[in-house]
Amino acid sequence: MKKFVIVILMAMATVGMTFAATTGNLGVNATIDPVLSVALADTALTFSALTGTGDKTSTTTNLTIISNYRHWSVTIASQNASTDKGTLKDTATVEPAASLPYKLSATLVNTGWANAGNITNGISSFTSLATDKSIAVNSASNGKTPVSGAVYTLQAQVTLPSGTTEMYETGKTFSDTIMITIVNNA
Amino acid sequence: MKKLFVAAFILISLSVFASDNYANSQLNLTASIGPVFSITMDDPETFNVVGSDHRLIPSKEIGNTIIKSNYSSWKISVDSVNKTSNALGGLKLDGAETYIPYSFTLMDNSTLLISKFNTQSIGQPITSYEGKALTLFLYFDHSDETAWPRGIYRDTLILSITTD
Repeated sequence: MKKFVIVILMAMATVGMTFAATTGNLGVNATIDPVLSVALADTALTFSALTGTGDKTSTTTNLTIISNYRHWSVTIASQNASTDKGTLKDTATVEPAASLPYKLSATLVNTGWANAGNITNGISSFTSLATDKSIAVNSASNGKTPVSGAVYTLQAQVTLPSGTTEMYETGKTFSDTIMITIVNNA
Repeated sequence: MKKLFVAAFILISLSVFASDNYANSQLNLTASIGPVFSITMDDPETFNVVGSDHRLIPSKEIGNTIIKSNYSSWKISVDSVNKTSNALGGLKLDGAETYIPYSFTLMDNSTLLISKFNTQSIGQPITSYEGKALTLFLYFDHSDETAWPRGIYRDTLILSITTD
């Protein structure tokens, strides 16, 4: 009889342990890495040899802005010296070095992007870079871009003068570097 | 040991935060200037070379030549099909070997550029976009007593520009 009781207790203990192990919690956590970038399909805009008068446009390149921050701004800044900002400079000539004013435009390519309406484009048409310009998310708006980015086509324009203005000398090369910087404003 | 671990964690977090806050890219703009080099002239003009006093007129402004050049230095020269020397050209009577001699000047406003055929001017600077207007004058011997035959007298002038 004593042996029988012991067996029953062991069986009950085994069953009880089985029921206790049938539930539990699995914790799943995911974090999103920050994404903030500007990239150029081609880092050069060039003009065909300039002759004649009036407006002349450069080649184009695409600027891709990618951000998973809600608020960002892109600054577009001419890198020539302060008095020559927004001009192409003939750096090979010592004095007097001629300069050629230019304008830059950025046209949104993927206009169907959901947050496109939340962006203010300071160079939506040809605009001088005598002062820094920006493409930025409007205050309190969501400017997160598609994974593939918000794509803008960049193009430069110069206007050759006419009339009694002295012509630019043939063979001269004029240049500027534009710094494009994206900053997280979140 | 616990304090040291917390401090290290904050430093790493700040470093990641800073690098994700901005990014940049550079765009290079380049333009070169193409050559402009042209010469145009007024249409040929017919004029009376003998005046009301039946003598050769003293001089005649033939017309303007427009030069457009964005070369830093260019030169111009004039030649005559009927010239008898580098100083004298000749207006030839149609159908005859009769020539009325003349001299010429090519002027930049009041500045004389050239007065001899086949002689280059000194180097000229880059012009404006509308170009530089040069004026050609012909000069005749008003004291000449020759009774020139009636008819049409012609010459062809060739104006050439070259760069250095």
